[in-house]
Amino acid sequence: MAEWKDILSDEEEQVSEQELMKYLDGDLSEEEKYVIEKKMAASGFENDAVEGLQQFDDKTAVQQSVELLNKNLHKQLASRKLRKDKRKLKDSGWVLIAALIILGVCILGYVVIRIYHQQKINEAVSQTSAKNISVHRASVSS
Amino acid sequence: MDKDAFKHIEDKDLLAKFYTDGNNQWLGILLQRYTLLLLGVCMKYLKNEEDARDSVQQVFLKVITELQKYKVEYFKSWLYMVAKNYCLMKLRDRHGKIPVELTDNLVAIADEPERRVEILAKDNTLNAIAESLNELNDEQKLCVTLFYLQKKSYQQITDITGYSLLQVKSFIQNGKRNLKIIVEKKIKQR
Repeated sequence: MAEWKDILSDEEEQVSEQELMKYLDGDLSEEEKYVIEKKMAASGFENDAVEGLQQFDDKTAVQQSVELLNKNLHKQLASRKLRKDKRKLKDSGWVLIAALIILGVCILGYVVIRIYHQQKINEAVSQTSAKNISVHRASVSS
Repeated sequence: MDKDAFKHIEDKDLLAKFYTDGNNQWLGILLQRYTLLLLGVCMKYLKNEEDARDSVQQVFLKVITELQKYKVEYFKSWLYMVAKNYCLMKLRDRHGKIPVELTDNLVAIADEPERRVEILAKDNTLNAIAESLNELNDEQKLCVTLFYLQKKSYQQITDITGYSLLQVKSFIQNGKRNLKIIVEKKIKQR
């Protein structure tokens, strides 16, 4: 009865790359072929893929193409990651510059206020001492 | 990158990892599982090795961009749909229209596996399959029976029936699809 259910079953069992290559090479017994074909029949993806792969003149070229495509894929992903990281650094660079400017303005403000206060104190001190001198002179002359 | 190192991680888990940390390397591991299949699908529709290789790269690019925009639930079905649609566009650019023999196969809709197995859970399904098999045309009925019930390989069915390998595959695929439609209809009526 399981066979009847198999007809409608779409539970996809993944066909491995190795199995597919062996199937393409015709390097399998009829039973082994059937197992892969049953998996293929449940998946349009695998079915179409095998049909396409059978059209390659040179089967070793298939494996080479896959390796090259994978290499390019990882290169592409790595360069995207690098670009993303650079962009992140660029964005965080602006934040750092803004923080430094704000900090600079604060320090400058603090210094200006401090100088201003110092001047005020100096002025007050010089005025008091001038007053004291004139009071002293007045008392001496009297 | 070593494929076997991540063999134990399922597609959906790799996708989840990508959605969590946004690291493209997870996509690389996931996509390279399907490079061979994508190359085959592109070759099937475009019939040119160079075009097929270029198209796989374009599909990779599309997938990397699209996955950053929205969440995908069933990656394999979705990827198959993206690849088929890309080939369809390419054929349209090449010919101005899609060759008639491909239009039927190129209706790219992502299936949801959960919904498809639902029908099997019903008790009266087996009887319905047996009844429905007789409603298929002779070629489809013969190929479906030989393949699913007698466990014959495509080549053996070709030898028995005299049909070509492509015909056998097509009769099995279409027979299975038609059978499903008939069974679903029968179950709804009961």
